[in-house]
Amino acid sequence: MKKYGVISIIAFLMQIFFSNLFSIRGVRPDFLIIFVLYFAVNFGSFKGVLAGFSVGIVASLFDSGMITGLLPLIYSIVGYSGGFLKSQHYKMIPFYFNFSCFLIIIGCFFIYSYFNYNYLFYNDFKIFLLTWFKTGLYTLSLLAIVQFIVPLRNT
Amino acid sequence: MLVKLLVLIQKNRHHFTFILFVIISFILIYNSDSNKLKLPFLNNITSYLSSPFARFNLLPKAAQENEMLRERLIVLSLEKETLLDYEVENVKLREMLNFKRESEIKMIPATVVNMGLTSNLLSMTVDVGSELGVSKNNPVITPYGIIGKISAVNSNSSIVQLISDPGFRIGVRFLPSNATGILRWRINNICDVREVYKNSTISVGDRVVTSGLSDIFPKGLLVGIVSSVTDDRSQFQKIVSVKIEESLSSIIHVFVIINENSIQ
Repeated sequence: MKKYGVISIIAFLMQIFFSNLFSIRGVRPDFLIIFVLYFAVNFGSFKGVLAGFSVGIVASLFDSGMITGLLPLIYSIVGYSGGFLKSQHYKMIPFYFNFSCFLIIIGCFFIYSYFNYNYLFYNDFKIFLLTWFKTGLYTLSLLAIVQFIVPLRNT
Repeated sequence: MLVKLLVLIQKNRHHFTFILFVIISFILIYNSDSNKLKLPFLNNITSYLSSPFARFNLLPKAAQENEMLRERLIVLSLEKETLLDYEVENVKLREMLNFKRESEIKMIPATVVNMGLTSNLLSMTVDVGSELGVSKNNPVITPYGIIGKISAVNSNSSIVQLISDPGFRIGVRFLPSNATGILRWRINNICDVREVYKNSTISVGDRVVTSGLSDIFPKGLLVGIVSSVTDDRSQFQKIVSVKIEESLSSIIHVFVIINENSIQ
């Protein structure tokens, strides 16, 4: 648990100070969502939700964005759904396990994009899809890299 | 019965906690006030901690920017000479026509210290606040045009709602046709201008400036350049795409246009 406390602080600092260094056309990776997913897969849904919501609340306090509850909502969903994957890597086919992680993250980015770009959702769905995918895929690519270094199965 | 209920809650605590947090999140979402800073002292702390990093980010770009600015300086000094002549002529003509002189714009420089935490760049924090006269809705510009407006002010820092925020709207005018419309962000530095009359003549490359029809943005501030015009027969109005010249993710320095009366 202590290890995750330290990692959460590192993730926070990276998100605040370094996420902009990795920015591509205004899209930045979300280190915190990756942290919440790892935490939830390791500790289950209950602790995952608690961690997700807490991380979301603190992040939205530090964030200069306009919608306050969006980050707690997204991270809670990641924590909750990610928790169902706890100990599942013994039972699941690796592809399905990784695909579930993919669905969780991309699903949460859909909610994020919907709240931020609901104008596009109703008026220009193609652009909305593009915005959603490019935002989600960037973090997913980072997750893939992190998975390669520290696989979710080994946490 | 109560024991059973408690056991049920205990058994399914992850579901109950999740539902509770989702409800809290929705309450927060629907009650979020974009005009208020969540916790001003946190914003101050973040901007204080971020300033060294902001300066660190500046270093690689400084030489390149310096060279570009030197070139611009030469061009601008030549333009200035011409403009000085025009100003004299303008003053004379205004006197002849008995026109009121427009108020001058006062700007203060600011450094971007934080660009938020979320994946998309919708707002940023700058290191100037109410102590230097910044107030809510002050326009924020760069040499390439408008990039946003102040949405919340703290004593030493302010939050800028960027033009990339889908909630951001701005009344614009096309030059030289003088047609007007309402601009909002679409994707990748491209904005759409809607509510443009079908009979207006707009060409690719036309300059887009603020219309001055709102109280927030003074008239004539550069916004962008027309990149395409869609004139669909089935629609009553034209849709004009405008390219924003500034790359929002790499902005370091901005200018905040302030009301002189608000300086403390």
